[in-house]
Amino acid sequence: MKRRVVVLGLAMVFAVAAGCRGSLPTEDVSAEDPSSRYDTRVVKHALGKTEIPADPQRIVVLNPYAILDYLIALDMVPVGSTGGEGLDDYPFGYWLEGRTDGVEMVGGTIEPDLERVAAAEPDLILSNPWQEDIHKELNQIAPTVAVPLSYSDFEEEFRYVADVVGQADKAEELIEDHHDRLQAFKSTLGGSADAEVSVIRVFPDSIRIEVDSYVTTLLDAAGVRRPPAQEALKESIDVSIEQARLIDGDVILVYSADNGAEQDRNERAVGKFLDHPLFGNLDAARAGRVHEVDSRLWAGGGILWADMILDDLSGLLGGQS
Amino acid sequence: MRAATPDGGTVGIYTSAFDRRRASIRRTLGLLIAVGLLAWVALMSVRIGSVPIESGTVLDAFFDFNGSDEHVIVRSLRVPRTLIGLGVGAALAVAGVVTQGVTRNPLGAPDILGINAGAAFAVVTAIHVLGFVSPLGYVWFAFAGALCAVVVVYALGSAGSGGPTPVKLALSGAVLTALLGSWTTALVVLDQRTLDEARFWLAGSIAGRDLTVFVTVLPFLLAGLAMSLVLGRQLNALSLGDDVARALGQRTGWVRIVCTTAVVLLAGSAVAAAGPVAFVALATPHIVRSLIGPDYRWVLPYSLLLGPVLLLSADILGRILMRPAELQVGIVTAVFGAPVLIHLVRSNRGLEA
Amino acid sequence: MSSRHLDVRLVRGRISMRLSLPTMGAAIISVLLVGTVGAWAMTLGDFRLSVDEVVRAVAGDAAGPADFIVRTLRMPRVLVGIGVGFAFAASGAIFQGLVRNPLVSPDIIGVNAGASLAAVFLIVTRGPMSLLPLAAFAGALIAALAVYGLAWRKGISGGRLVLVGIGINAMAIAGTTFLIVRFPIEVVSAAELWLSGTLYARGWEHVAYIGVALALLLPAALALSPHLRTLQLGDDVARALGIRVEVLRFSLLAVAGGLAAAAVAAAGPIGFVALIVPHIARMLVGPFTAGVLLLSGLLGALLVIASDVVAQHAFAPLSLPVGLVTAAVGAPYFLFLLFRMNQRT
Repeated sequence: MKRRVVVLGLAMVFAVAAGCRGSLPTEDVSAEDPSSRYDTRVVKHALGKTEIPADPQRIVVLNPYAILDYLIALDMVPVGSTGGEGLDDYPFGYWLEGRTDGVEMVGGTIEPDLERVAAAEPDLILSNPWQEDIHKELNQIAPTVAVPLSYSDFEEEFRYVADVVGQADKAEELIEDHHDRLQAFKSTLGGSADAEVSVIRVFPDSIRIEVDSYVTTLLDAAGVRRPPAQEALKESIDVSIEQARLIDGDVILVYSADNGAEQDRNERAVGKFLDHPLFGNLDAARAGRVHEVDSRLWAGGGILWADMILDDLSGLLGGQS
Repeated sequence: MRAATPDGGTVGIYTSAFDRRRASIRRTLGLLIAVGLLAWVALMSVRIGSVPIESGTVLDAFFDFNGSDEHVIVRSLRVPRTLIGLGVGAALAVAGVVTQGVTRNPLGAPDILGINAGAAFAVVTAIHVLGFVSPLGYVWFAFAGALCAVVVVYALGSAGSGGPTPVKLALSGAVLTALLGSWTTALVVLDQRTLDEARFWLAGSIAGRDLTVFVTVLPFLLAGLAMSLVLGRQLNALSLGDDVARALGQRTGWVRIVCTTAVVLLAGSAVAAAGPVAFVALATPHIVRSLIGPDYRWVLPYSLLLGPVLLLSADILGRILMRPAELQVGIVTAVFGAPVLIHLVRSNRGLEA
Repeated sequence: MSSRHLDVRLVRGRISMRLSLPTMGAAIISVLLVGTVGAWAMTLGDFRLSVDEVVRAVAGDAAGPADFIVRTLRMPRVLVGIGVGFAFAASGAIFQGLVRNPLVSPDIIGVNAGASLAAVFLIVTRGPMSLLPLAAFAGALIAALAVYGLAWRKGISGGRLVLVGIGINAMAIAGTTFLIVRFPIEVVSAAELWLSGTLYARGWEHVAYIGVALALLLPAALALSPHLRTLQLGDDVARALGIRVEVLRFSLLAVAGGLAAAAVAAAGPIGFVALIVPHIARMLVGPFTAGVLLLSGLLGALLVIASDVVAQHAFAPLSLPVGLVTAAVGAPYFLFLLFRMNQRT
C-alpha cells in the first residue's frame, strides 16, 4: 500500500518537474520575422510593461468592440479577434459589420482560444485589462499589451491604442474630425441640443441609470446634459422602479435587447416598463420622447462607434420643435 | 400535561374539558391577533419602500385617485407586490406544515427537499428553452417539476436502511437542488440573453412580477390551501406514527396522496408566481409551533397567517436595506433563514442520524 | 467481501500490510486509463498532434508550436484535471465514509459554496485574477470551519454536520445570487463560467497548487484511513479500541475539507465528482479502505479528464466548461442510483 503511494508521489513530482523545465519563455511561437526584432519599444500597460515591435504587422485583439473599433479606424485591421459568445451570425461589434474582412475569430471574449491565437501567428496582442489569468501565456505567443480601458473616455483610449501601434498622428487627425462633427452636431440641433437626456437600462425590478460610460461621455462632449436629479451621481446606479421620477427629462433613451421585435416585446422587461402606469406619468413619456435604442449598437464603444451614435442622436433629438 | 411526538415536538394532553375550552378560546384570540398582525404588515408593505408613502395617501389612491406618482406607485407597484406576498407566503408556509407533518420530519420544506428547485428548473426550461410566453402555459411545468422532484427525493431518501430519515431526505433534496442548479447554469451560460432574464427570476422576488401570473395560479393555490386546512386532524394522527394512525381508522395511503397533491399545488404555484423563495416554508411552522403547540388543526391556520407576515417583512427589509435599490426577498429570506435552520439543527434532538 | 489478498512485509518484517488484489488491479487499470486518456487529450485541438509528437513535447524535445501548445496549454490543463479530479473524489470518499451516507459530498455541505462566493465576488468586482485561487481557497476554508464550529455540540455527529452544512450552503448561495443579480451582465457571464467549474487557462501555477495540496494531504488521508474504518464501527467501539474519536474526526474532516478546498481553488466547483465517484469505487471493490480511497481518486481523475475532452471538443467550435459535462453525467447516474437502491430494499 505505502509503496503505491510512494510511486504515485514520485510520478506526480516527476510530471511537475518535467513540465516546469521547459516553460520559460525563451522564444516565442510567432513567425520568424527578422525585421520585427530590431525595432522595438517598451510600453506601459494595465498589467505592467512589455517590449513590443515598433511596427506591428499582425495584431490579434481580444476585445471585439472598442479596441477592434480603434484598430479599424486606423486602418490597421487585425489578423484575429475574439468574438461575442453565443450563436450570433456576426460576432464582432455590431457597427463594424462589413469592415472586418480577413479577421479570424479566435474564440469567445471571456475565454479566448489560446491555440487559435497562437495559430494566427501574431506579433502583437492587445488584451483586456482584466485578463490577468492568461497574461503570461499570451506573452509566450507574442508581446501582449493590456489596454487600460476606462469604459468611458474613448478619446483617451483611442490615443493610447494608436500610440501602441505607431499611428499617433493619424489618431489625432481622426479625433479632430470627430470634434468637428461634434461642433456640426451642436450647431444643426441648435436649441434642441440643450436637452436633458437620461440613458437607462431596464431590469425586471430595477432601473440602471447610466452615468460615466462611453455613451454619457459622448453626450457630455456633444453638450447634451443629464437631468438635474442625476447631476450628483458619479457612476451608474441601480434604483427601484418606484424611483422612476429620477429618469425624467426631455428625452429618455432606453437600451433594448433586440431591435424591438414586437412578438416578445411584452415579455421583455423593457416592454413591461414602458407600458407601466408609473412610467406613463413621466413628462418625457407624456411628450412621446422616449426612445428605445438598439443595445447592440449603443452598448458598444470606440471612435467609429461614436460617429454612428451621433448620427442616431441627431435623429432622436432633432425631432423637437 | 405534555407528551413527546416523533417529529420532535410535544403534544398537550388535556386533563379536563374546561382546560380544553380555555385553550380553544386562547387560540381563537391568538388567531384574531394574527389576522390583525397580518393586516398591519400588509399595510406597512404598501407604505414602506424607496418612496415612503403615508397611510392617508394609500387610502386616497383608492378612493380619490389623482394620478400622482405616489398614487400610481401604490396601485401598480405596492399593492400587487403585497398581494403576491400574501399568496406566496401563505402557500409556502402551509406547504411547509404539510410536508413536516407527512414526513414526520422537522426539516420538511419544499425548498430543502428540492421541490422548489424542481419547479424552478421546469419553469426556466419552459420559458427560455421551449419559448412558452403565457403563464397559463408554463404554470403546468411548475407543477410537473414539483411533482417529479417529490418523487425523486422521496425515493432516493427512502432507499437503504432506516427509511426516510430527516438527514437522508435533506441530503437527497440538496443533491437534487445542486443537480438542477447545474443544469440551469448550463442553460444560462450558453445564451447571454437568457442569463440576463433568468438570473432575476431565479433569485426569488415578489417585485417586478407579473400579476397575471399570480392570478393564473391563484385557483391552484387556493385549492392547495383548502386541501391542507381540512387535513389538520389527519396530520395529528399521522404524527403519532403510521400504525397508530391506521389503528385510529385513518387510510394513511390516501392521506399521503392528498398531502402530496396539496404540497405540489402550493409549492408549484408559489414558484411560478415568485420564483424559488427559501426558508419561509421551513421556519414558519416551527415558529408557530413554539407559540401554540403542535396541534395541526391550529398550526395550519396560524401558518397561513404568519407565513405572509414573515415573507412581507423580509420583502420590506429588502426595500430598506439597499435604498434606493432593492434586495430580492429570496436573498433576504435565505440569508436570515439559514441561521434559523442551523439553530434548529443544533437544538433539536430528534435529528440524530 | 471475501477477496484475495497479498500480505506484504517491508523493512525486514517491521511493516506489514494487507493489499487487496481486486483493488490493486482496479487501481492499476485506472492509472493506465488516466495515462492513456491524458495523452490522447493532449493530441486533440485545432492543432492536431500525433501521440508521438505529444510524448516528445512532454519530454522537452520538440520545437516551435508543438512545444508551446503542449507544454504551456494542454499539459497543465490535463495535469490540473487529474489532480483536481483526484482531490474531489478522495474528499468525497472520506466524507461519505464519515457520515455513512452515499449522498454527502463537499459540493452540498458548504465547501464549494463558500469558495464560490469568494471567487464570484472577486470576478464581478474585477479584482486581480491572480488572487482567484487564493480567494476561493480562503472562502472554502472559512465555510468549512463555520460548518464544523456550528455543528459542534459536545462532539460532532454526522447528521448535524450535514444539516448545518446545508444551511451554510444556502447562505453562501444566497450571497452569490445577490452578486449575480447586482452586477452587470458582462462580469456575471464570466462568473457563471467559473461557477460551472472549468479547466480553461490552467497554468503550471495551478498544477503547483493542487500538486502541493495532494502531496501534503493525500499521505495524511491514507494514514488515517484504517482509523476511519474503526470509527465506522461506532464511537463507543472506537473509543474502547483506544481511538480519540473527536480528534480523529476533526483530522479526517480537515483533510477532506482541505482536498476539496484545494480542488475548488484550482479549477472552480466541478460538481458531482466528489459525489459519484466514491460510490462507483465502492461498488467495484467494496467498503471504504485506503485502497478504495486511492481508487476513488484515480477514477475521479479519469472522470474529469474524460469529461474535459468531451467539453472541449464534442461541441466544436463551442468550448464548454468541464463542470457542465460532469453535471450532465450526474443525471443518468442519479437515476441509476435510484434504480439500484430500490432494487436492494
